[in-house]
Amino acid sequence: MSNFPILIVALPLCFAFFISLLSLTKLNRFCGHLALLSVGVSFVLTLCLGPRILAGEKIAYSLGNWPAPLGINLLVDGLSYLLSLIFGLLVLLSVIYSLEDHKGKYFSLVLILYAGMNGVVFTRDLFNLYVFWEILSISAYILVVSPQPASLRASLLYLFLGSLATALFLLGVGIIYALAGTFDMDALAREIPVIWRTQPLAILLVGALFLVSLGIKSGLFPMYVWVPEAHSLAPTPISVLLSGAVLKIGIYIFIRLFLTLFRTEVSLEGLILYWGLISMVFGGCLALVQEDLKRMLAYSSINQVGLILIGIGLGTKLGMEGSLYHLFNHALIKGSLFFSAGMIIESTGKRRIRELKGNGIVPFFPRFSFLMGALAIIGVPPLNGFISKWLICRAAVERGNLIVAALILIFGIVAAVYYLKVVQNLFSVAKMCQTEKRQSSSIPWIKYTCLGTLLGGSLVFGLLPSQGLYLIREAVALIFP
Amino acid sequence: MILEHYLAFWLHPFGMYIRLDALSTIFLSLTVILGACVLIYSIRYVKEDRIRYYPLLILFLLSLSVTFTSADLLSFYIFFEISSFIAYLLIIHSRTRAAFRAGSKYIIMTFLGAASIFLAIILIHRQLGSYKFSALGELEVSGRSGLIRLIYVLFIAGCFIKAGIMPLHTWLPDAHPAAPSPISALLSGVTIKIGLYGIMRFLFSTGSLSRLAVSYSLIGFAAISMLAGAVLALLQDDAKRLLAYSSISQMGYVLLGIGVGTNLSLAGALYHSINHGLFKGLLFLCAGAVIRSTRMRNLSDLGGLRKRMPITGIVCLIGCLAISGVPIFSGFISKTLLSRSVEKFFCLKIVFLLTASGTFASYLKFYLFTFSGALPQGLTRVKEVSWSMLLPMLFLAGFSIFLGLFPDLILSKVILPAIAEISIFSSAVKFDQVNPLSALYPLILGGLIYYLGIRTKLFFIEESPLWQRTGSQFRKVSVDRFYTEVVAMIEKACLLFKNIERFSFNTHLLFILVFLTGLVMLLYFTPQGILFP
Repeated sequence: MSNFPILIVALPLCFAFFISLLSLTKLNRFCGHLALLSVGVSFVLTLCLGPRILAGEKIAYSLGNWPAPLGINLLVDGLSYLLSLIFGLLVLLSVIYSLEDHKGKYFSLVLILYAGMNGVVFTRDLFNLYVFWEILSISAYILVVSPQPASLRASLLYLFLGSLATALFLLGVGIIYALAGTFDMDALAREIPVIWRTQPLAILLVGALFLVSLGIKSGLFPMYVWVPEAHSLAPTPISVLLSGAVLKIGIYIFIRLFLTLFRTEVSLEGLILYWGLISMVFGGCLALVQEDLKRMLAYSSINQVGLILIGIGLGTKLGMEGSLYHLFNHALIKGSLFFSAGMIIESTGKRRIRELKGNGIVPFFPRFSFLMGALAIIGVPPLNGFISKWLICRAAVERGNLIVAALILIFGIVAAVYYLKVVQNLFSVAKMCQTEKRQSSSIPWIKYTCLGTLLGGSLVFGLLPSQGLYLIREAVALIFP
Repeated sequence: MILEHYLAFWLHPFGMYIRLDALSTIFLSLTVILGACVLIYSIRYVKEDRIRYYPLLILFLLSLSVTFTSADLLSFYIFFEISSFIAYLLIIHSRTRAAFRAGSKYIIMTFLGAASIFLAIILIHRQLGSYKFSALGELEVSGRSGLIRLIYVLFIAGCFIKAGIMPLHTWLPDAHPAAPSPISALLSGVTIKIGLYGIMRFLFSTGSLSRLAVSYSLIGFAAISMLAGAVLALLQDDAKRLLAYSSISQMGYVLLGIGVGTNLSLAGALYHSINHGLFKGLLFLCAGAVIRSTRMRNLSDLGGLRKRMPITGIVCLIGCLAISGVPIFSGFISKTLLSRSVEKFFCLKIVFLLTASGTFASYLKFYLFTFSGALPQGLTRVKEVSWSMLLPMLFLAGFSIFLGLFPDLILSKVILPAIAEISIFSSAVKFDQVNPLSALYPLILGGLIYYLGIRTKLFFIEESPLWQRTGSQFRKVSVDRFYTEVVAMIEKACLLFKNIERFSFNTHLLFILVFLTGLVMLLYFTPQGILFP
């Protein structure tokens, strides 16, 4: 079982290679199925690790049997397992969703993305983390491109900002290597307090570089600009992955680096709290006035990522619990929202919120799941968004930050305003002519299963928070033992 | 007997408790009775989208029932929110533009109220470490008085929004006309009682009614709601709006009873909640029957339906008499109990008299404009509604008379056990030594107001020259307008903010560089990190 981590990462990479070869032959149409197979196997391997990880074990694997400071180590602990679970689920669903619409190289790119994501969360080597991050980013840049001409511009924008972010990150990694002489995180955790005593400014500079780079990647306030463009113009399954998984990578690296490495030196909690607060307010305000459905969802992602950051910034165990739970929930909810938005846009051909009137045009299930997803993200009780929002609010109040709790609740109401605006349009009766009715294409049932899985998940984790808390317990224990 | 049960399957680590005591039983039975009536009534009333209407209605009744039987603040909040949202879906059932607008206003205000209650609950949990109502007794001594006061304000304000107490009422007169009539009956009969039930539970569990400030502020808001609700009800032309404003005024009565806080006034408040649930439900169902068969809802278009819809006319008359407090009907009992409990306060007595007469006048208008007078041209072929709609109305009318005829039975079997659970005093309340003639003053005054209103045409804003001259000034002070303007201002600010999207890529890069520099400087000057406020 100890070689599972490398299998989880390597299997999709190998398959990506084969698929790109296969796409040149006549068996082109089986690319998707092959991709599904490899993602499925990787996901099952991830699931197999579950019982041992959740029992508190850590599974390590050294590449080429080189021990820690020399070689690259992969380690699966609670935090990486939680993230890997989210990635596996979302990638699996996205591949299923895109089986009919895409072919060939698309799938090999998705597999590279998947391998990159798992690599980032498993690796214990800082430079290796950078490499995997770059791998996943590059495939994400390409995947954003869809038949819409504007998506090319979005992809370029994402590319520029993303490369800026990874370049800043690499600069930080370089400085750290110059100071400590190692990339291994465990070794760095021992070294950094020593360096801090002699060269605190270098550490602070690294901190600032990392923060900006992570801020760009997770779409926080002043560097969010790629988020709405890329999310709204990418194909539906890619929007799901971007919002549910790629944005979360930044948060993961943040938690990993700052709360396990730099913890003793710099207390960034206040900064993170305010940054999250500003992002939340900004995302909420701009989502309120969007006219494009998917842009609105993208701004809502900024809002929710801000909320996750607030939970981290509160710096208590409860806050961390809430924000990891929200990270998980947001992946489920935003996934189902983007899937249903994609179906709505596919079946009507319209994406402006005001034009989505049409009880008869849009099929029932996407409308219903959009409503449920909206409820979950607003935080209406029986669904999972409520639990995590509640935990974060409780953490804020227990920390004595009443205003933060009040703002979180108020922006829940703002979210209610902008989501219900869409819901109202979706459920309103429109006069339509016959031609429009014929236009609406039927949606294959297999896409409904993706949506159903995510909705079921958000209901289960809302009704049974004990299960969700069980999932994140080990991750929280890592940071707040 | 008190039943309590731990819902183990739901929200497991946090715990949810269900508890049935006498106070819950009152509201639970009100929900069940009115719910059954509404379910039967809806069979013939709701024709479109039944596949969505009935599941929602059943879920709505279920969530309302659990709200009233929850034993802890958490499950109270959870089911409060669920029922609010289902109510939203029911309000927008007709999917017209007006319904959507009313629904948005309703859901925003209710969510605001829910958020405020939620914040209060989290604060309480921090203070006490428990969500249970039974633990609330220690809240008073658990912390700084400023914090405790904040908790009170947050919780009570949230409940005020739900209960439609002025000046937080503005969702109510829009949502009721927009919803299908059976839903309006439930909204007015049961849903808005959740707010008052919450206030009762909270205040009596914390024992904070001994604070004069709480008591006086409740009485103040109650008096405003009573008077303003009655006056605004008088001015309405839409039948269901009239009933909605009258609900605000009647909720004022109940709140007044809670605010005064003696056993007598509490008995009055509980009795009035039951009564109001029944007769306001009845009146909304009557209005629904009229709207269903005439397809008109403005009082000035209606008239002379007594001959066409005789049974509806009779039950509507019973409802009007009951709400106006005429002896032998139920409203008389509760209003007498309440007015006896405020006998010592002269101002409140005046408010009482004015409100009662205003109520009577508005229901005179409601009944006379609908059922008497000449039949308009368009309504000559109107038929009585079907039996499945009449039966629930007849049942509610009968219940209203029953509650008026046997006050001692209800008081001793239903209301006093509930008061014994929540109140610290233990004096018996009896309904005796009542002079039925005391009900005569408001009736005479109300008749006078009605006569004057008709003669001067003050009742109709469009026709009266006085309103045309002063109306625009009058509307400027409306709270509704104030809220709408605040919302519009927020949206305008967001639109202004949206211009950031148009900035070029270079500007955004500049932002990032400035941020990076700022971050480095910040960390340089405060290497210990930014501390919490």
